[in-house]
Amino acid sequence: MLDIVRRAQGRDHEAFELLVEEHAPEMYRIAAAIVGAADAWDLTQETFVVGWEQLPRLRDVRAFRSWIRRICVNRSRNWLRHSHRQAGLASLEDEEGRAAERLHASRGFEAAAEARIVLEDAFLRLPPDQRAVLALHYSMGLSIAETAEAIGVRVGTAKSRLSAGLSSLRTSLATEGVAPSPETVT
Amino acid sequence: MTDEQVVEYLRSRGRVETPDGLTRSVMEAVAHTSPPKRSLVAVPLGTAAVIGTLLLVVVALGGSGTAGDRATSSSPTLSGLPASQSPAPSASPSHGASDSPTPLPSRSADRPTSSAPPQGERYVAVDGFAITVLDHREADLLFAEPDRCISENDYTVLFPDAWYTNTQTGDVAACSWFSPDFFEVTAPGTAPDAIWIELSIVDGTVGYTSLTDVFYNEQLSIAGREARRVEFNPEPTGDPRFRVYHYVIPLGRAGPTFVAYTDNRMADDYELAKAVLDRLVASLGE
Repeated sequence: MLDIVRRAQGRDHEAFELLVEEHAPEMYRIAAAIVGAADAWDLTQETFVVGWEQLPRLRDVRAFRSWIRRICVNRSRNWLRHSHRQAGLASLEDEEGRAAERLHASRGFEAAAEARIVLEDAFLRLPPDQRAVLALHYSMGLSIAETAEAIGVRVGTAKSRLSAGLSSLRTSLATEGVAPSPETVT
Repeated sequence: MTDEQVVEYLRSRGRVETPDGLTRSVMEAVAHTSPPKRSLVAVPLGTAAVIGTLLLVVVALGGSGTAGDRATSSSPTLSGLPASQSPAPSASPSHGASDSPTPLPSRSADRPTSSAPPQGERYVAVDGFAITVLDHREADLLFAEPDRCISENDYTVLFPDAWYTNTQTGDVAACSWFSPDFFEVTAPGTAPDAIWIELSIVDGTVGYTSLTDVFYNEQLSIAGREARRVEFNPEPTGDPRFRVYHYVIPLGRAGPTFVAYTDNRMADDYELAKAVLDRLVASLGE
């Protein structure tokens, strides 16, 4: 694998394609977990385009996975930041549909479905940094240390963002009338 | 609703199938990209120049430089035309916590200086950067896809996307302070405790009345200007562990001067701060 990275640094397209095959599924999942599946395809493309352009700068080829993961996370967070205004507009359109779903769920006796809708809304309202930490740690199964590295912050910062994100989700549940559990998520 | 359901919801966000054709689509996008940007200036290793006895006795540096007054030039230039000569050189320090730091004792002319990095460190050339930078894996990752900050002081720098910088605040220009932690400016003109790196334009020139503990000196060229990279202890008679790492780029013969600064009191991880500062300064003029 290290040799493949070195070859790709030398502008070997075939070698880079091997890296894409190896890592694109993970990058797609990361993007989907942070911003949603609808935009994960474009973000995965962007990630590897940037990766291709910046690859000659990577000196420690063993760090390729962390490095490309970092690019993907950055792209996803930037996407969230830059799409903030549009999100405000889109939310108005989505609101009717969500309200209908919520009504159906409340009538439809599917507490889990209702909870999911509430959580989805709450998750989409989280700041990009908190979304990224929750997605990497829980959705991708990365350790706190790996999550911190992927985001570029210290472990303590990652922990505090994780805690803040979880707290926000619980608060939203309580606000929506779905009582949060006093249990602690670890 | 239990916390288990919260976790289950978050886990479910990662359970997505990779669509067919993703690799092909990515490679098609890659094929349409332009060739990678390469550095215009390659500074080979070994260009370090020892300051030796060349002491610029103009301004004494004292204090940590993390807070206090900042004499910010109104018309500094780094990437533009030659700097204005109008600001008179200052005989007092313009970067530091004190308005009148105690001058350090004169330095012996034959006191050795160093052009080699401290033990365990090495400068390396990185594609895209015009100067060598400290070898640091975490700093490399932080600059995988950096953010860009444009200062009204006529400079543009790249900095880690995950880090924070300031907007213009009072007399402090945008892109003056950098930190991995979020910070708020509570007192105008005063650097928050959280910052690790400071960029400033100071009146006059910057030199060293005495540097008894110089750990590294290098003369280099940054954005077409003569510059100096120095690590030293400005308080040799005080805390022997105090370390300052800075770049000094004169913008005119009599000033002003661009100073990029960190020290081991302001930065929780001094080695990382140095490596980030290297890359940040290396991006000037990109």
